Amino acid sequence: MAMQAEKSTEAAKRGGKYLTFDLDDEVYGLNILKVKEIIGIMDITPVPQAPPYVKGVLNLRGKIIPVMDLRLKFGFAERAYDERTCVIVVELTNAAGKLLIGIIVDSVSEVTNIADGEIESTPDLGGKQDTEYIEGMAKMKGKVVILLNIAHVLSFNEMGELAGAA
Amino acid sequence: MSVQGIERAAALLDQLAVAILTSSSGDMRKLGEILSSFEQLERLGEAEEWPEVVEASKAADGILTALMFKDDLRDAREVAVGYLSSLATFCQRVARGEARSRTDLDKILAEASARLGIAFTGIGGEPDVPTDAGKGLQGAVALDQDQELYTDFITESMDHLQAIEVKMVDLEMSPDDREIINSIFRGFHTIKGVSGFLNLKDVNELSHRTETLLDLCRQGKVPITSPIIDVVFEAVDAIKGMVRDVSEKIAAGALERRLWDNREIIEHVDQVQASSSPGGACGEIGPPLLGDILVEQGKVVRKDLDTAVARQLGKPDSPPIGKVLIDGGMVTPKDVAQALRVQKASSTAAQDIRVDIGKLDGLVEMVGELVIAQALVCNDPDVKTVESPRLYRNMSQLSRITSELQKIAMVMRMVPIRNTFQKMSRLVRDLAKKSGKEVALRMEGEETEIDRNMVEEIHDPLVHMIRNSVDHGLEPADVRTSLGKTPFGTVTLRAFHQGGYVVLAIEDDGRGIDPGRIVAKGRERGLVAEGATLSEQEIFALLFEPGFSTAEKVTDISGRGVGMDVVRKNVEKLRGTIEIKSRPGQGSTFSIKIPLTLAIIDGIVVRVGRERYVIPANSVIESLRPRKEDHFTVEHQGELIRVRGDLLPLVRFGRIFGVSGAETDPFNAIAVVVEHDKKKRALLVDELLGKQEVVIKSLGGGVAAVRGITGGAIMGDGRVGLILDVAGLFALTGRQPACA
Repeated sequence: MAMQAEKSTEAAKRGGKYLTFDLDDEVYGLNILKVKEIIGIMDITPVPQAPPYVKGVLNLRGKIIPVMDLRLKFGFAERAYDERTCVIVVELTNAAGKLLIGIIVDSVSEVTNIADGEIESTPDLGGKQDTEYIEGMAKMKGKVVILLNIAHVLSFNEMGELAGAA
Repeated sequence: MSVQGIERAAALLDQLAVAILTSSSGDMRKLGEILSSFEQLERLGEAEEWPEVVEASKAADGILTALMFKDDLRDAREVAVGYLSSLATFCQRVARGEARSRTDLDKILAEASARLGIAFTGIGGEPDVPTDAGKGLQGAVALDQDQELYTDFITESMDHLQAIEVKMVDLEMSPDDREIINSIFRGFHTIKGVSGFLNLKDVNELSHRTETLLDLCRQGKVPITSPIIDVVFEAVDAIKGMVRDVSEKIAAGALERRLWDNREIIEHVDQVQASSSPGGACGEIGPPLLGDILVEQGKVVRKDLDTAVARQLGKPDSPPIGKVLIDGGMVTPKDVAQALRVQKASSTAAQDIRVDIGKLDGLVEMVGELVIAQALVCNDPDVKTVESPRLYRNMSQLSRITSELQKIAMVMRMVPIRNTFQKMSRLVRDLAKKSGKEVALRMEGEETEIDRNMVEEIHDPLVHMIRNSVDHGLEPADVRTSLGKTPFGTVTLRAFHQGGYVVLAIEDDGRGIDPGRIVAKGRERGLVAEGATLSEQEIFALLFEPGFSTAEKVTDISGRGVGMDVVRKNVEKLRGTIEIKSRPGQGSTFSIKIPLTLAIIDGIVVRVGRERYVIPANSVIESLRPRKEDHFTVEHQGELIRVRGDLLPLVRFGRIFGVSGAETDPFNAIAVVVEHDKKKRALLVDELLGKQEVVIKSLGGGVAAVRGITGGAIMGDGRVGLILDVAGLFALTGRQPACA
């Protein structure tokens, strides 16, 4: 009970602008404050010995950033990239400083305001899905938007590894 | 009296007059100007031998100092300024050659003393700091001056203190050199002055006390001895501590700051001054002396130098060695001037300006981007279809200019390693004392430049290695003599450029590394299998294992076994390597090799499959298309290629890095021979695309440190090419001839 209460107070703080995007027929949302920019899919240089969901690196106006395929990270089947495929560049902060990482998604929808009241805390799905990285669920126009905590999507030990290269 | 002197004095005094007239209450900057002008006047007075001017300036100095300390004096400000004016006028008259008697000066001084309540302590003395010093300073002072004044003070004081430290070591070698004492004196004098303005009473008090001591030294009233040098170092450390304290308080936005209690140090100074006797033994370490520099430059022979030194010490007023050599006709003044420049290059140079490092780095980064953007434009396929000689000419020009700009930007970031090396002299002196050994430090190639971003990183590894040399490498004096070596050990710091790298070497003539002991220790720690035989390089490699130490006991200097692996990490961070050479009984040399700049390398671009990779040109020896008769297999797993008689392992790039579409038939591909650490391998690639300078970019900190890749580069068409780390690649492919 106490846990539920905690989570709902957390939900209260989570309202705001979110960027929504699609993976297959599921809709996800990212807090807009973490999003640096959105670019169309471009040439990616593969990096050897990286985990399968790390597709490689790309050139973002002179800066090299790593790119991750969110589908593969979530265990979806791989899908060919088309003209709707986008790379969302997010900015994360960890002990080493700021990190820019690109995330490949099927398509991007819109930036929309989600009010606190529309957000519900994550129910316990009972599966082996680690729900650490889901901040909550929102109801929008009849669809459920899964709000992601992007920092958690890359679990902490990964973030540590990732920063190691710098 | 020289004409120049008179002119300069006139100019100074005009300046003074204006400053005094226009100064207003609490205008620290103006007071600073006035003080500085009087100081210059004082120096001029000394040079031109106008004792009255010297005294008048000192008195003015005293008045200004008192103005800062005595709060009640602030009311009498107008009066005080009036006296400053009189003193300035007096000096003017002396300078103009109008006979002015001492009585006039004495009158002014007496009046000022009475009205302002200041004591001018005799000839060549300065007014004592008000008696707070006796009780030890208490309380706190407000940090209410302009922020910038404090930051300037902090930077400049630290510079002065560093310069003082270097000169102190010089002083050890030539304790009678007046020039050195003078410049150390001036350093403290300046710190005293500015700290006074900023009401940093504790700094002011200590620097004043030290300055007084040094004043006596430079007048020959107190000889320079080891205890004196030690206590000055103590003062330097204390002042450094206080300055850092100010810096922290400012950074934290504090409004006031507790004064430090320096009573102990001041008592120490008193003691040392009272008890100093002539002929203290000084250590034998220090950076190159003027005489040594001249010998190195070939301008004078060692024998003649020794004669000159003897002559110098024999003279009652101990003139600088340069003067003795010139008088003796052994060198020309020009030679001495040049050598002096070499020696003094560490002190504040004339033509520098301060630039905020952030701005500089920003500029360099932008230039890097410019290079990339220019390459993108010039290599754009659409642009290439335009048939216009004029366009190509202009693009060529653009290319040239960008390239030049890039070179300049890189050079801006280079600083000579001298500063770092000279910090080591103090370290060596302290180490020698602590370990009871006699150590001579020699430095070569101090003008070698490295990227300024590396200076910080290189400091700790050097410190560790020097500690190792002094602590483990060098034998104590008696052992050395019994072995027929000189009683003092020599540590040589050497820096030079080699190819695209900077090499920093630390050489000692000590006992060298005993391979037997290392192997034994390695076995003890389970790092070496029983009965395994190791090559010399493998034995040395053990030294880098964390926690490894063959020291019998842990001293507080080294021997805790944390040194070398940290050193290696730091060096690898800079994409460098460490090499060890040693001969038992004769000494060891540790060399750090780091790339000249972190940012740009010359690369050979190759294609494997769809991807492009950049191999650092420094590592590439040659390339060829392998022929069937030169290709051999080993146990059906490893592959070897014969290149001009040598058998080299063949590394299938595509396979190791999992590149799809790579050429698998070696006879249809190119083998690139790369070398690392004297070992060669042949890398199999699809095609050679050319040679190119690339800007190294880190892989966005988002990809786990990949063995074999050192970073990425933006290629001409905007895509990313991965830059190969040859060392890592070799490690990946391990001892087997090729990766399975």
